[in-house]
Amino acid sequence: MKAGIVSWGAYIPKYRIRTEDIAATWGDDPARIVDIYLVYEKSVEGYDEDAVTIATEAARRALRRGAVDPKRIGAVYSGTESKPYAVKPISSILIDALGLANNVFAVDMEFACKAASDGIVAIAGLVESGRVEYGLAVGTDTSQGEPGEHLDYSASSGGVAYVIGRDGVAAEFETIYTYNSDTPDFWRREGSPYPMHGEGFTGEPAYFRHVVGAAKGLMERHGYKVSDFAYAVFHQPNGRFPMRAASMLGFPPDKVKPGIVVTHIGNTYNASALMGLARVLEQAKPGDKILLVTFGSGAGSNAFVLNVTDAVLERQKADVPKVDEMIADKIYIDYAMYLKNRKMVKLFE
Amino acid sequence: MLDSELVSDPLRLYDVGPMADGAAAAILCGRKGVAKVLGMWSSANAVPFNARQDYDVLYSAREAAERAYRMAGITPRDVATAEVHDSYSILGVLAAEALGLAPRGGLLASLRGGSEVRANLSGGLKSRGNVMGATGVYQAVEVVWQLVGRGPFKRVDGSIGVIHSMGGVDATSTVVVLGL
Amino acid sequence: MEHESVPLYWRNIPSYYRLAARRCRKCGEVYYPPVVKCPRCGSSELEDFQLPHEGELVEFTVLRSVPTDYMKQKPLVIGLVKLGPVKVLGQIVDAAPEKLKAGQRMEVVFRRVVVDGKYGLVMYGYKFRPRP
Repeated sequence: MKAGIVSWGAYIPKYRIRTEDIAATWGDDPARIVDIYLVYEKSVEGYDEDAVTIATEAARRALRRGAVDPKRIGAVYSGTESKPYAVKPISSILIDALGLANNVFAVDMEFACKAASDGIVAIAGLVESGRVEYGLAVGTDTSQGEPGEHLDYSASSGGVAYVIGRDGVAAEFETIYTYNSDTPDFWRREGSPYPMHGEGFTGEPAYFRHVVGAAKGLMERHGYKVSDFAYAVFHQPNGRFPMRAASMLGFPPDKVKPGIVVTHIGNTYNASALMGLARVLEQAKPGDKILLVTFGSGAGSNAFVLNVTDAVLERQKADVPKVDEMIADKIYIDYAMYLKNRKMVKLFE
Repeated sequence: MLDSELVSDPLRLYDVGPMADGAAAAILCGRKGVAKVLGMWSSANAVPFNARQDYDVLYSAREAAERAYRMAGITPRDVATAEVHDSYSILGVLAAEALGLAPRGGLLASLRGGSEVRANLSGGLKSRGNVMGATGVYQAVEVVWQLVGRGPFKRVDGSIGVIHSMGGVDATSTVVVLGL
Repeated sequence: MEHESVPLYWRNIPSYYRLAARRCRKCGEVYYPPVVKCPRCGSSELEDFQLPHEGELVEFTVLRSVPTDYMKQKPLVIGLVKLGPVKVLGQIVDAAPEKLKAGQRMEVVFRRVVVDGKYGLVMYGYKFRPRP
C-alpha cells in the first residue's frame, strides 16, 4: 500500500488583528487593502509563542487524533522560515516535547513556504521504502513582514502536522509531482528582519507559473481531469491568488473555497496550503480525491493527489480542535499588542 | 493599605513585608539570665506547595508549636506575647492560628469581635521589616523586651513569650518558648 | 531573579516539556515535580507516569509584581491545575483573569518560559490555558 496521511493536527494562535486596524496605523484605505488581498484579519502568536511552540501544539494534536504512539514515529521533519534559532533545530526540540524515541530522523527544512510539503514528500519516501513506520511532517511559521508594507497585512502565524504512514491511512498519496526553478520573487538575507520582494515577480513568474505548472504537469502526466477532484487546495498568500490559480486550471470556486483559510487567519506560510488541507480533511468523504498544490518562493510547487479513505471518518470524530473551531476562537488585539507579541518592539532584553 | 497597588491578587503592596537591613544578638549561657528557653522545636512540611490538601494551615508551625509547648509544659493560653513570621499579612494570621492563639480560620473573626490577640507587638516582618536571616534572633530579643517591659515595648501581662520563624511558605518552622 | 542554568534546564526537560511525573510502585502515590524517593512510604522504586493534557483549575492568582525574567509579561496569572492525581502549579495564558473560574477545564500548552536575552537559550515548558 502507498503512504498516506494517517492523522493531522493544526494549531492557530488565538490572537487576531483586523486588517482595518493595521491600515489605520499606516494610513491605508482598509477597503482597498481588503479588496487587494481578501484578508479580513490574521492570526498573531502570543508573546510566549514561536515556531517551536506552534509546531508542538499541532504535532500533539496530530498524534492524539490518530492515537499514534509517539515511539513509533521514525522521522520528524519541520518546514519553516521562522526558526527561533539561526542554528538549533526545531525538530530536535519536538523529539522531547512529543516524547519521540531517539531513533528518529530529524531535520528542519527550508524552501520558503514549501518546505513542509517537502517534508511530506521525504517522509512518504521513507515510509514507502520501509525505513520508518510513521513520520511526522510539520509546517510552522510566525512569518515576518515589514510593518506598514504589503506583508504586514497577511504574514501570520500557525502550524500543521501530518502523521504519514501506511497503516491507518485516512488519505493516500496517489501521486506526487513537483515544479521548481530559480525565481527571484521573495527572499530574506541572513540577519535581515524582513523579506524583500522582487518587483513584479510575485504573481505570474512565481506563484502562478509554479502552482499551475505543478498542477498541470501532474494532471497531464497521470491523466487527471478537473472532474476527478472533489477539492483543490492551493497555497494561499492572499485570498485572490488561489482562486485565480483555480480558474486558470478550470476548477470551479466551490471545489476551492473549502480549502481557503487565508481570509480569516492570513498567510501562515508553511502551514498555509496544509491548513487548508486540514480543513478539507475535516469535511471530506471516503472516496473523495483532493488536489493539493503548495508553493514556496524561490520558487517551487509540490502537487499531490490524495485519495480519501474510510479511516477519515474515524479521524474526524477525534476530540481534537477543528480548523473552523480555531478560526472562530479568537481574541482581538490592537496594533501595539501585535507589535509586542511579534517582538517587533525593540527591547533591552 | 487597601489603596496600595496589587502585588499578587488579593495581596497588595502593604500586605508584603519590606526587605530591611537589621541585626540582632542574644547571649545564650547556662547561668541565670534575663529569660529562659523553656522549649523549642523545628518542623518541616515535606509536601510541596502544589501537592497540599489545605492552603489555610501552616502544618510546620502547628507541629513545631505543639512540640515546643509540650517541652515547656505550657498551653497556648499561657502565651502572653508572640512574634510570628508574617512576611505577608496572611501568613501572620495563619501563623498565629497555628500557634493556637486562635482557632483555625478564627483569628480575623475574633479580632473583629473585639478580642485581643497579642502577636507581633513589634509590627512583625510586615511593619518592622523583613530582616531575613536576622529575623529569628530579632524576634527573640523583641519577645524578651516585651516580657521585661524594656522600651519601646510596654511590659506584657504574663511571663511566657513565643517566637515563630519560617522558611518558605510552610516549608520549615521553628518555635521557641521563652519565659522569665 | 536568576533563571536556572542550561544544565539544570536540560535535566528537567522531560518534566518541563511533557509533564513526565513519577509514580511510587509500592504505594501508588504520584509526584509532580518528580521525586527520586517516595516521601509517603520511603520507597525508591518509582516509575514514569504521564500526566493527562487536560484538567481542572483549582485556584489562581494574578501577579502584578513579577520577577525580572517576566517583566514584559505583566500581569502573570499563576494557577493550580488538577491533572489526574496531582495538582500542578503553572502559568495561565490566553485568558483574561476576570473570566477565569475555579473548576473550569484547562488544557496544557507548550510555550516559551524564559528567554535568556538576545543570544542565550530559549527555555520552553508547559503552561495552561482554558480549554475552548
